[in-house]
Amino acid sequence: MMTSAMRWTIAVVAVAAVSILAGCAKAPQVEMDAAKAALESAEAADAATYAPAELEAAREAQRAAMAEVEVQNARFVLSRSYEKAAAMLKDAETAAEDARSAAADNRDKAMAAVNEAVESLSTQLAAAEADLAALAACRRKPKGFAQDLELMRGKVDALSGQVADLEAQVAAERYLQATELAESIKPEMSAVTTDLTNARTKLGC
Amino acid sequence: MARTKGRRSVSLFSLVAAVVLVACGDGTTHPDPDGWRPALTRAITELRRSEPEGAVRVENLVAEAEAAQAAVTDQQSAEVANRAWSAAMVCAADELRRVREAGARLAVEARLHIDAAAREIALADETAMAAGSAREHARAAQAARVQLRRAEGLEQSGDLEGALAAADDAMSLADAAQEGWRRQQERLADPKLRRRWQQQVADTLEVSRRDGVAVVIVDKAARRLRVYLDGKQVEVFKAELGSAGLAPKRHAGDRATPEGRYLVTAIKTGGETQFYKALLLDYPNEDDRRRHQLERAAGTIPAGVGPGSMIEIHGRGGQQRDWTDGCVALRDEDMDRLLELVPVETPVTIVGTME
Repeated sequence: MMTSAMRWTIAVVAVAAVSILAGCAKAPQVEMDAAKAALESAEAADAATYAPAELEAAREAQRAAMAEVEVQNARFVLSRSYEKAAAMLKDAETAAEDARSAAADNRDKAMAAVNEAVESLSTQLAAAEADLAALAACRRKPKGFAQDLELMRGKVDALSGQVADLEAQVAAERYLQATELAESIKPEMSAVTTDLTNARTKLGC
Repeated sequence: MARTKGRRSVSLFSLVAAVVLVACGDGTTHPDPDGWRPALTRAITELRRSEPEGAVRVENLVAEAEAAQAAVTDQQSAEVANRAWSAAMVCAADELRRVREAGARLAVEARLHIDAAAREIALADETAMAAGSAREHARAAQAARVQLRRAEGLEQSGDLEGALAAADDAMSLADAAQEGWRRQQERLADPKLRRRWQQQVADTLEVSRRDGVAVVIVDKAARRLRVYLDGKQVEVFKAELGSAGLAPKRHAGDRATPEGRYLVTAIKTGGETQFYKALLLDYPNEDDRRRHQLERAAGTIPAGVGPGSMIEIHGRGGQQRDWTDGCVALRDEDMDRLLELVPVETPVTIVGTME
């Protein structure tokens, strides 16, 4: 026959057991899935190209969070606590969202900058070709003029090819590579157009 | 009876307490890797950029260390965890040292290639005038310059592999820009041509010795016009050639200075020439016409284009470059001296080289 003391003891044990088992949390699957999805989203937004530092920070945050999950997984079942891991996964998700956002911003900026560069270089190229035509039609032709004109034509030919390469990079949405190429073309284009302008001024064409 | 029931309650309570205590912590001393984790994280981040396989090796060791850390229950397992952390640290240090050494070597290599490309472009510019294909040369040299700027930009931004690749592209383009000049040099070294030129020079000097007359020999490669009297050199002048440089003349408009044996057919002064004074030569001679006909038949020169004419030795030189449409240009004062020495019908022989 069960005494009241026995019932009381059983009740205490049962409550304690339930509390303990409830405290043995499950791995934070929802937070893990959300962090993983956010990271994949950042990678899909080409954060590796446009926000590499932010992407690496997000990856690192996820790795650290998953390491904490593994640490807890390795513990005795009744001693696990995933509270810290869940908080870390939330931070990792935020970091990934920041990386995606930074990538989108940087990509837009790069696209705008390189489109502006293409427009400027195309305008300069058109001006250079007009200068060449004017020089070819110039009545005053000093000694060695024919060779000088051929040299300038060659330079403009090369720059024309490089602007075409630049446009191809932009069309393929390789904005960072296009930016780098544009920066290399700009000073050369400037030098050639200056030479042509000076030649026209000197010859009065 | 009551005392027995109390003892059982305490035992059960102790068990519960023990279970709770186990759930909350086991009380064993752990090794503390908190000082190592940030350093290892930094190392892995750096390795991922340039040596991802090395990063994976370190990550695997860190995972083992973390697992060992989580399994620490006593001093022995703590030692195991310490050794695992040490292994991870040593591996990270080794990988980083290899990456940094490789990076330093790559930086030196990239700079060497950039400097070499810059030298090749400068050389291409120097040989531009002798190339005889100004537009093609200029196109390749200009493309090389843009690649060189790309290489320098990439070097500054730390993309050393990109800088190396761009520098190599610049070098290839500069090399292509020198192709015309190299072809000219190969032509000048052709033994068959050299024998022909040597014979032409010898025959011309023989005429000077035999007949006691002045003769002129133009050495295109040396850019020199030499005057001989009785077979002995009496004057030498710097000469400037057609803007096609050392190329042989093949047709009208190619801006090349012809090679062969000619005669002065007229002397122009004053208003007869825009080039101060001039000696008109009898280009094209029979050899030139025959060569031109053969090339026309072979289709290697444009249809309807003749061999050219009006090749002269004239003044307005001193430009320090080849600039004429095929004539040989001297400085005005040298033309004055030349006209003192050579009358009409003076033999003029133009060769690729007198070497």
